[in-house]
Amino acid sequence: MQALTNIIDSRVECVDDAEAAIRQFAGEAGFEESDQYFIGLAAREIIINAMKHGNRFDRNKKVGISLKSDGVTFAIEVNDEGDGFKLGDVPNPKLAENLERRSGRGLTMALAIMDEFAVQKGHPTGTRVLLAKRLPASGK
Amino acid sequence: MPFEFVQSELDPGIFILSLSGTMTMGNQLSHFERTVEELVKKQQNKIIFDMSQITYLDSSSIGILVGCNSIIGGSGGSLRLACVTDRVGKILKMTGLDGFLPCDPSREAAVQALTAGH
Repeated sequence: MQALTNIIDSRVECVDDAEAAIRQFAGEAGFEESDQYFIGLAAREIIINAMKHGNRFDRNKKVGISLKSDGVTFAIEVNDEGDGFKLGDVPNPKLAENLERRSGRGLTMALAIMDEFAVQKGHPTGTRVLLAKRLPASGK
Repeated sequence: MPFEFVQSELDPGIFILSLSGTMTMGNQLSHFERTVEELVKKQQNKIIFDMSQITYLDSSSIGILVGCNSIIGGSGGSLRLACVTDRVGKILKMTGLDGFLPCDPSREAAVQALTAGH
């Protein structure tokens, strides 16, 4: 089991380093470069959402990122200090009436890239988003 | 690699913005969109974005592309994306935009499409 935890400020400038660490961790877990690229993108979108919609870029609020790999599954957990959201409340950007919207595609990208996606209430507050992807050797 | 773009007139009345680098939130995106708005104000609204050197695209950048498409289309013009890489094409597909934002395999094909009024 490999694990890594990181807590970052709610600033866009912090996302690049966080994404780079996730890509590196994904590589060490066994993903090839193309998968690292897309896993990094999925994580980036969820981290930005946590900063923007969860913490509203409040510099006093943090985003927690935990990575785990057990040799079968690679898991990313992103925690914010916001009020939470329901997946069903997020408009589907792929519907014809939403194609011209400028925002709301990050979740769709993460859902398309990762094998598992869940939104939970954080403890004691906030929101926890769980992302997971099976490692190639485990019969994807 | 930071996001950059270079503007030029490819054929008479057809303008190209050659994009390069990593296209992400807060990374010159507003400046890019303002440049497109300025072109459109001058009725220079047949525009190609050459995407061949874009290595990365996040959802904020996709929002900018969609916004530019609306601005250009709203003025009676057309936007074409040329030379989209496989990875960027995959991102457009996963967001349902692969059929919405017109893509061409080359600059020449994009010019042909604009010349034909598409």
